[in-house]
Amino acid sequence: MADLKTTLDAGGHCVLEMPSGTGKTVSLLSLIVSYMQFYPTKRKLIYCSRTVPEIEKALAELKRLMEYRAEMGANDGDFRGLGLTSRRNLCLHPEVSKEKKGKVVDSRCRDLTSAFACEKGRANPGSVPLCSYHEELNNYETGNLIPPGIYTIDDVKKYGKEKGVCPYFTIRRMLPFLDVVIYSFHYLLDPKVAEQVSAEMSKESIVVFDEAHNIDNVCIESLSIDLTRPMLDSAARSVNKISDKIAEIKETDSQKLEDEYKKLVEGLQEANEAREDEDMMVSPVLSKDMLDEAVPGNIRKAEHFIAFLKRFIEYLKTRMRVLHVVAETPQSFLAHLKEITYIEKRPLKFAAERLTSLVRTLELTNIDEHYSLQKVASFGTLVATYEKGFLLILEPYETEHATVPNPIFHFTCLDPSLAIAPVFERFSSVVITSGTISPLDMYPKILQFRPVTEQSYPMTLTRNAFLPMVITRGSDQVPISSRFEVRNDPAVVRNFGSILIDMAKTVPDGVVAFFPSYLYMESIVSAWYDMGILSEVWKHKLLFVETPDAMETSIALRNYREACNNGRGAVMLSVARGKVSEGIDFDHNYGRAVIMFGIPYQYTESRILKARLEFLRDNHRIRENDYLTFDAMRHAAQCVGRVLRGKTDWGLMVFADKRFARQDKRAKLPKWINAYITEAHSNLSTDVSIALAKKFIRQISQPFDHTQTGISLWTLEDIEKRQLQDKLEAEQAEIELKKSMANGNGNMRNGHGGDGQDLDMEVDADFVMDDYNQLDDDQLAMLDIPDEL
Amino acid sequence: MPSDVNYAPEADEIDDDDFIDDDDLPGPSSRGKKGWAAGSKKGGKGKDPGRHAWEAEYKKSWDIVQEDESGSLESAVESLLARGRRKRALMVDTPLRRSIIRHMFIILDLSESMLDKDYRPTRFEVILGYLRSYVVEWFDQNPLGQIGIIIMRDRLSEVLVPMGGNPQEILSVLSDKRRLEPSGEPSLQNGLVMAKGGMSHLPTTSSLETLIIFSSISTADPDGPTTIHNVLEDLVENKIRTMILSLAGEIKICRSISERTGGKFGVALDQDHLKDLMWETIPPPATTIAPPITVGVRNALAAAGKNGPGGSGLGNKAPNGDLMVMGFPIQLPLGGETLCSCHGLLKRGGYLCPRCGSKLCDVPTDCEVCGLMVVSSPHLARSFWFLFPVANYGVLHIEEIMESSKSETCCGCDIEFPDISTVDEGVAQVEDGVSPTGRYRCAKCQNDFCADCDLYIHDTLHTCPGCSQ
Repeated sequence: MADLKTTLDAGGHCVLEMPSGTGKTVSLLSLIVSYMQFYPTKRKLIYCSRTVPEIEKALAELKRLMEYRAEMGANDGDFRGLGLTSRRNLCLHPEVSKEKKGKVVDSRCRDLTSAFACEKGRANPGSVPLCSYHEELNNYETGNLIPPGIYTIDDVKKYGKEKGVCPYFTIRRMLPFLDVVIYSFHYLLDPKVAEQVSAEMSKESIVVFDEAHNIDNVCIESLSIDLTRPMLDSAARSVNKISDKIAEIKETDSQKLEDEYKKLVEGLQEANEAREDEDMMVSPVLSKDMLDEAVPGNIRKAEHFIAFLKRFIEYLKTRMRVLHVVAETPQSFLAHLKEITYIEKRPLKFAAERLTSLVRTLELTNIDEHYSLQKVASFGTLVATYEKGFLLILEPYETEHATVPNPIFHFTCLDPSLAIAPVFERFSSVVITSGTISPLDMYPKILQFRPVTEQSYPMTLTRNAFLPMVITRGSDQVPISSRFEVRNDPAVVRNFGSILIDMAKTVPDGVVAFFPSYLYMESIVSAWYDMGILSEVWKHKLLFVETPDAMETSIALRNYREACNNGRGAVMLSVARGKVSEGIDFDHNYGRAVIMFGIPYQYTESRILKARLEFLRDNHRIRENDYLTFDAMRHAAQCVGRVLRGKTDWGLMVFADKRFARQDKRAKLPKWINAYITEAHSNLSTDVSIALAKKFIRQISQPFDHTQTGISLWTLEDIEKRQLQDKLEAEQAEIELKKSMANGNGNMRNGHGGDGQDLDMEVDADFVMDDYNQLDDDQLAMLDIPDEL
Repeated sequence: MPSDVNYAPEADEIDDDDFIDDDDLPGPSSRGKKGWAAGSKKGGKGKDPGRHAWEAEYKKSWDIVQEDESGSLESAVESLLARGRRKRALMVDTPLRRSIIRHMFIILDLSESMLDKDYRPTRFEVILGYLRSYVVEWFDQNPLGQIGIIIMRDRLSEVLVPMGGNPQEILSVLSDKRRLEPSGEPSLQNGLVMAKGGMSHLPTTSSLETLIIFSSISTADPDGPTTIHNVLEDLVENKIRTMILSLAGEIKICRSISERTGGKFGVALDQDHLKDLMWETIPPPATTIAPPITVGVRNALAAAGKNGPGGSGLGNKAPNGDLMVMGFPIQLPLGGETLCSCHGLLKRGGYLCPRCGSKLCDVPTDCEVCGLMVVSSPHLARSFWFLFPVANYGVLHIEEIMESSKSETCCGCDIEFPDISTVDEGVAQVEDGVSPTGRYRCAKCQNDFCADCDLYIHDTLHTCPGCSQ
C-alpha cells in the first residue's frame, strides 16, 4: 500500500503482485479512493478487470468500501462509481435482451438507438421502432442521469427498470462525470472501442489493470485480425449489397452523397464531430496513428470506394489460393498489392474510416451483416498503417496433416506495447496488478514502460494454507515430464495416472488437473482408459473433462460443482490455457488440490508464436527460451492459483514434471508460491508426496481461528503502534542524518512537514485494508463481509 | 415418579474449540500398541495392493517429546499433564442445560477405505477397538442413554444394533469381525436417513444424536429426487445433532452437516487424536438445540422445585426444566426363569416395571409394554456428574501458601507436598494452570490437593472429598 502511494505521488506506473484472496481489490480501491478524496483536484479511477464476474466483484467491493467510509465519518459528497459492460448484460429492451449473442444485441440496439433512427423517429413517431428506454434518457439532465453513489451492474439495471431508462446508455453518458469506472480491459486497450468509450477520460486518471497477467496477449489480440475464406466471401456479398444501395440512393437522394463527398473533402476530422453518439464502426487504428488528412480523392466517391473494396477483396482471395505457408512483412504485402491491383498505400489506410462514413450516409441497419466487410476494411487499414511489429502469415491448412485447405490469413501484431502505449502516455499513473505476474521485470520489458515500483508481496497467513509440491518421479522412480520426446512414454503416462489415482484417493471433494494442451490431454486420457487408470479414479471420484466447446465445459463445470457439494467428489481434467484455467475459481471445496501435469509450454511450432519470439529477441533482447518459460510458468501459476481464493481457503498444489524442480523454472513462479516450496518438497516421488498430502490435509482440517487478528490483519491500535514506531525510527534517522551531514538536504524527506499528511492518509487507507475479516473484530466490526467469500 | 432431570444449574459448557490445543501435540502414548505382527498378517491378504507398510509415512515419534536443557523429559511430561488441566480450565462456569437422556446412533463407515493401513494395523481394527471401549465409557457416563449402530458399506446402510441401552449386546456384535468386513463405498445419505428413521419415534425431550465415523473421502449417494441436502434439512428440522469424525480430511458436505445440525466436525490427525475426538463426545451435550415445550403448570412446578417458593418465573435466565415420567423398577430375585417382555425369552432375574408390572431384562430402558422409562437410582445419580461437576481447583502460588497453609500433606492421599523452599522462582511458571507448588486448592472447602488427586477427583471421582467430609 505504501508502494502504491509512492507511485501515485510520483505520478508513475507500477507493477504489483499480490496473492489472490488477500484483499487485493479492496486495498487498491481503498487507497485510491482515499487518495482521490484527499486531494481536491479530483482524479478519476479507471479500474479494468478481465471478466464480467470480476467487474461485479470489484463493484460490490467498492460499494462496501464506500458504505464503510460513510460510517467512519468520511464525507464523500457526490461520489459516483459505475461499471460498464456490454449491451448484452445491460439491455432491458423486452425483445433485444432476449438475444443470446452479444453481436446481435449490439446491432439490434444500434438499429433502435442510432442517431438517424432517433431523428426520424422523433420527427415522425411510429415510423421507426425506437427503444423507449433510450428515449427516456433524453428527459434527464446531462451529467445527472443517476443519483450519486455506487451501483453494481444489477443495481443499475434495477434503477433502469424503475425509471424506464437504458442502463447501458446511462453509464455511457455518465462516464465523464464518474469518479470510479470499472470495466473490462478491452474498453481501454482495443482501439476500436477505446476511442469512443475512453476518450473523455481526463489525463489525471489513475488506471488500474487488475488480473493483468496476460495483458500483453490482450494487447496483441486487439490489434490482430484473422481473415478466412468464408469471411472474404461474405465481405464480397456485402460490398455488392452496398453498391446496390448506393445505386438506389443515387436515384432517390443524390444530395446526400454529394454532402458526404463534400464533407470528406473538408477533412475527416470534421466528419468525426458529427459522430457524437454514434458507435457503429470505428477506426481500428490507434488515435495517434490516425492521419489528420482528408480522405484521398480516389475513394471519395462512393462508387469508387466500392470498386476499390471489390478489388481489394479479390486480391485477398487470390492470395488465399496459395497452398504453401507465406509469411511476409506489411511492406512486401503492400508492394505486391500495388503491383497487382494498383492499390496505393494511402487510400488503403483510410479504408475503415471511409466505410464507416459510407455506412452512416446510407443509413444502413443490421450492421452485423456487414461484419466481415468491416473486418476486411480494418485489415486494410492496419496493414497500411503499421510497418513495424506486425507480420502477415498465410496458413493454407488448419493443422499439420489436414489435406483440405482452409486458408487463414493472420495479420498479427507482435508488439504488445503498441496497443498499450497510448494508455501509458495518456494517464499519469497506471497500476498493473495480479496474483501471478512473476517475474516482474518481464512485463515492463514487453510492454515498454518504466515502472516506479515493482513489488511482489508474500502472503501473510497464520498457517500454511497451501502445500506446493513438485513431483519429479513416480513411485517406480522413473522421472516424469511432459517433454515432447517422453510424453507418450507408457511409463510416464502411467506415472501421471498414478498421481491422479492417489490424489483422488487422498483429497476430499474437488480436484482439478491441468494438461498443457487439448491434444495431449486427449491422448493421455485415452491411454489412461486403456490402462484402466480411469476406472480406478472412478471408484473415488467422478470425472469431468473440459472441451474446447464452451457450452459443454460449462455443463461439466456445473456438474462438477454439484458433485463437490454433494460430497461425491470430482476430478476436473482441463487445459492450462483453456477457459477453466482463467477466471473460474475453484475455491474451498471446489478445489482442494490442483495438479499440473507437465509444464504448459505454448505450441512452439505455431508460426505466429515463432514470429513473436523472433520479434522479442530482436527488439527487446529477450531470449526465446526465457519468454517461453515465462509464459509457461505464468500459466502454471495461474492454474494453481485457482484453488486458493481467500484466507480461509486451503489447497494442495502439485507440480508434476521433473523440470519444475529446476531453479530457473521455480524462480519464475510468484513469490508467494515459491516461498512455500521448500527444498524438501521440491523433488518428491509420488508415494512420498501422497504421504505428505495426507498429513497436510489432516493438519489443515483442524479447527482454526479464522480471524487472524494481529497477524495478517491489524486493528487500528496495531497500526498506530506501528506508525509510532516508524515515526520514532524516522526521527532517529533524521537526527543521525543531521549529525552526520550538517548540510544534507536529504533529510527533508523525513521532515515533519509532510509527515502529518502522510500519516493521515495511511491510517485511512490501512485500516480499510484490514476490512476482510474485520467483522470479527469488535471494535471495527462494521463491515458486513461474509467470511467465506 | 416425576423428576426434573433435565435441569442443570451448575453444569459446564465444553467450549466447541477446546480441542484446538491438540493440533500440535499428538500424544506419544499408545502408538504401536497393536503391534506390527497383526499389521503384517493383515497386510498379506489386504485388498489394497501396492501399499505396503514401508510406503506409509515416516514416523518420527521422537520428535514429539522434547528434552529440556538438562536432557530430562520431565518438562515434556509436565506439559502433557498441563494440557488436560488447561482443557478443563477452558470450560466456562456458567450454568447450562444438558440433556442426560441421550439417544445416539453411531454410524460407522465400513467402506474399503477402512482397510487403509495408515493406522496400525488397519483403520478398521483400530476403530473397532476404540468403539468397544467407547461404548463402555459412554454408558458409564450416560447411564440413561441408548445407543444404536448403523453401518454403511456398498452404498447401503444397515442397522447393526438397534437403539438400546445394553452395552453387552453392542459389544458382542462389535467383536464379530466377520460380520463387519469393510467393502465398497459409503452412502452418507442412506446412513443418515436410516438414523433419522430409527429415531423418529423418540420424544424431543431426549437429545437425539448421531456420531459418524467417516473414513472415506466421498459419499456415493443414491440417484433420485432426494439429495443429501434434503436429508440435511430433515435432520435440522428433527433436531438431530450430527457429529462427524473424519479420518481423511475436511469434506465440505460433512462439515456443513455437522455445522447445520449443531454438532461438531473433527478430523483426526492420528490414532490418538481420533480417540481424543471420540471421547470428547461422551459428556452429554448442552441442549441448545432442543428447547423444551413446557406447559404452564410444569413450568411453575419446575421453577418452584429449583428456586424455592416465590422464585417462580421471575424472568429467570436459567431455562425452565421439563418434567419426565420415570419409574424405578423392582429387582427380581434370581429365582426361576420367567418370560421377559423385551425379548420374549425365559430368563432368570430381571426387573419389574413399576407401572405395568411386566418383566424387563435390563435397566435403563423404556418399558416394552407401557413405554415408561425405567431407570435405577444409581443411574440417575451418575448422570448428575455432569450436571454438578466438581469446580476447578485453584492454583496455589508461593505467597498464598506462605499466608495460609493449612497442612503439609495432600487432603486426598495424605502424601507430603514438596517443600516450598525448593521451589525455584525462576522456573515456577511452567504452564498455565500448573501449580508451581504442586498444590491445588478447592475453592469451597479450602483443602489442598496434589496434582494426581486433582486429576483423579475431576476425571474419575466426580466429587470433592474435602467438601463431602
